Amino acid sequence: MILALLGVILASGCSPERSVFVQLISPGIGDSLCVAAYGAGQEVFREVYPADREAGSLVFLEGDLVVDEVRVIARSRQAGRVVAGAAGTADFAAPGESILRLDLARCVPGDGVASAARLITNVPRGGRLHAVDADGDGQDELLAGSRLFEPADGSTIALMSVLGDALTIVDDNDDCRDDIVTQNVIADLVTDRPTAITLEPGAVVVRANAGDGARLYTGSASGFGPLGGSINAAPVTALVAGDLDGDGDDELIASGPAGIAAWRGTAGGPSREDAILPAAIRGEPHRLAIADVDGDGSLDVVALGNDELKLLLNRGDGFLELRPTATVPGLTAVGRLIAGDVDGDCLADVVVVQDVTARIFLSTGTTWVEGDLGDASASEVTLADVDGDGAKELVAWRPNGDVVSW
Amino acid sequence: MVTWAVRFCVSIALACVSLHATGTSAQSPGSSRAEARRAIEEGVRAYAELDFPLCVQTMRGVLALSGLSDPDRLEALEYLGSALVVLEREEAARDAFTRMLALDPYHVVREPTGSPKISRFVAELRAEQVPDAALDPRVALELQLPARAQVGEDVVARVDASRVSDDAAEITTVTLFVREPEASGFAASETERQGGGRFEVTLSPRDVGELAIYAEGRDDEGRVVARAAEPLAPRVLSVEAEAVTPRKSKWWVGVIVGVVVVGAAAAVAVTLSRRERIAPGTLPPGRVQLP
Repeated sequence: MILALLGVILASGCSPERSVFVQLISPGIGDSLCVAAYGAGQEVFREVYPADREAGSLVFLEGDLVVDEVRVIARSRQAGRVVAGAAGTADFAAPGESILRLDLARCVPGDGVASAARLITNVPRGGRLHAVDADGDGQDELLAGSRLFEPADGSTIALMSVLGDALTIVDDNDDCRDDIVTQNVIADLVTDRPTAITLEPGAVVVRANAGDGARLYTGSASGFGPLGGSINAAPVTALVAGDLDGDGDDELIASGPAGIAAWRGTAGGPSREDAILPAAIRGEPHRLAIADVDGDGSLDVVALGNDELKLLLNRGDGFLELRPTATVPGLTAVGRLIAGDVDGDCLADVVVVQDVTARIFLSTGTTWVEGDLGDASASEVTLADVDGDGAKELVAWRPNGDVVSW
Repeated sequence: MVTWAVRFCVSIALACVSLHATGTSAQSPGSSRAEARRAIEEGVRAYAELDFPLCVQTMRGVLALSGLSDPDRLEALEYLGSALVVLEREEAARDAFTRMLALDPYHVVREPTGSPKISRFVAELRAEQVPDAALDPRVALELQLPARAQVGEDVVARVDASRVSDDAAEITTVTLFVREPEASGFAASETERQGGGRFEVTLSPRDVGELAIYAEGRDDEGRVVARAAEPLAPRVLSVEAEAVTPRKSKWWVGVIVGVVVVGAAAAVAVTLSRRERIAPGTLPPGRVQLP
C-alpha cells in the first residue's frame, strides 16, 4: 500500500502540468484593458493594462483549488465605461496546455428579443433601475431602487438605502468594477470605502476623458462642468459622453432649457464646438442617449425633443447629421430613454417608457421599426447582461414591482 | 388611479381574511402568513401608486389579523405611519410609528420615496422616545459572515464601519447580537476593534441549526448610530454538524505521512522546474499560478 501511495505521488509530480494559454486580441480602443479570471467560484486574477496593446497573452497554471476550468473576462474601458469586451472558459481537462482566444469586440451578437418576458423577482417600486457589474465578473447585477440583487435567481445581495438613489453606474476608480454614483456618494461595493461628493438634486452625471484625464462631469440647474468645477453656466438636464471622432478623447453633449451644446475632447480638455451638432436641433432641449445605431463602429446620438425621437448619425468624423427619415413623432410623456442593442444584431435600438409602457424601436441602420414586447408594462427600463453571455438583455421594472427581462 | 371598485374588493377581501382568521375553523399558520403577506403587498402597491387612503385602510386591516408576525407587523406599521404623514394625520401617524418603535426602537423606515418629511417625522419621534438613538444615514455597517459554519468550529464575524463624510458620526464600539437555534432572545457579544473601521468577534456555534445575527454600532456616548441587519430581519448563518474525521493511531500512519511529505517535496521540485519550462505570456506577470 505504501509503495502504491509512493507511486501515485511520484506519478502526479511527474505528470504534465496543466495550463491554459489565453490569447487576447483587442481593437485598441479605450484607455484601459481589464483582465479578470474566475475559478472554483471565486476571483483568482485581476489586472489592468494600457489599452493601446492590440494583442497579448497570459498563461494560467492549474492549482490545487482551480482544477476544472478557468473563466477569463477581458474588457476595454474608456473613462470607466465598457467599450469592448470578450469572455470565455477553458478546461484543464487534458494534460498539457489548452488555448483560449478572446477577440474583444464592441458588440456581442445576441439571440434577439424574447417573445415573452421572464420574471426575475419582485421589488417594491421606488427609484431607478440600473445594471451594475459590481464584482467585475462580466455578468451584471441589478440595482432596483436601493436593492442590489442577482438576476439569475433574484436573491438580494445588499440593501443600498444609505447611499440614496443611484444617478449613474461607472467604474470611477479604474479597478474594472462598476461603482455607484449618487448625489452624495461614489460607492465601490467590493473594496473601497465610499467617497463623499456633493451634487445638486436632479443632477445628471457621466464619466468621461475629454483629453485631460478621466473624471466625472455633472449637469444641473447651476450649469455643466467637471465635478467641483464649471465649464458653462446654462442649466443642464441631459448629458452624454463618447468618443465621436475616434481620437481617444471623449466628446460631451449637454442639453438644457436653452438647447443643446457640444464640447470636443482635446489634449487641453473639452473645447466648445457646437458645430458637432446639426443646427436644426441646437435651440431646443432634448433628452439624449449615445450608441452606435448604424453599426459602422462610430457613436451616434439619439435625441428626444418636442415629443419626437430623432436620430443624429455620425458621419464618421465626429460630426452628427440629422436623419429626418428616422424621426418618430408622438412620443409624449416619456419617462425613460435608453439606447443599446436589444435584438442582438449589433445595431443600437431605442427603448422608451411612455405612460408606464415600454416601447422598443429596433434599428435597421437608417431608421426604426417598432417591435413587440408582448406585455410591455414598465415604469423603469435598463439594458443588462443578466446571463453573462456578453450580450445585453432588456430589463423592465413594472409598476407592480415585478422585475422582468426579455 | 385605483377605482372605487378595486377599493371595495380589497376591503371585502380583508374583511374575509379578518373573519376567517378570528373564526374557530382550522387554519394553518402558513396560510395566515401568506394572507398577511398578500395584504401587505396590496398596501405597499397602493402606497407606490400614491393611493395613501387605500394604503391606510389596507394596513389597518393587516394589523387586525390575529397571529401576525412581528416582522409583518413592523412593515405594516411603517407603511401605515408613512401614509398617515402624507395625509397630514399627525396624531394617527405618531401612534403608528410609536407602535413601530416599540417593536424595534432603532428601525430605519424603508419608505421607498425617501421623503424628507417622513424621515424628519420619525427622527423627531424617535428622539422623544428613544434617548440612546442617534442614527446617522451617512454611516454604514457591513456584517461579513462565512457562507456556513460547523458545530465546534470557531467562526470569525467581521463588521466594517464606514462614513461617507468626515462630519458623520464615528462608531467606537460594535456589538454583535446572536440568537441560537430554539432560543427566544439575542445574546450580545462585544467585538474587538481591529483598526481601519473593522471590528471582529469569534463565535463558537454549539448546535446545528441557524444563527440569527445582527450588529449594532455605537458612538463614544453610547448611542446607537448604525446597524447591520435588524432583530426582526437578521442575517442567518447555517450551522452544520461537525464533520467526522476519525483519527487512526496506527503505526503505519506515521510512515505514510512521512512518505507523503517526502513525495510532496519531490513533486514540488519537479513541478517547479516544469513550470519554469512553460513559456510565459506577454502580459505581466506572464504566468499566473492559480490557487
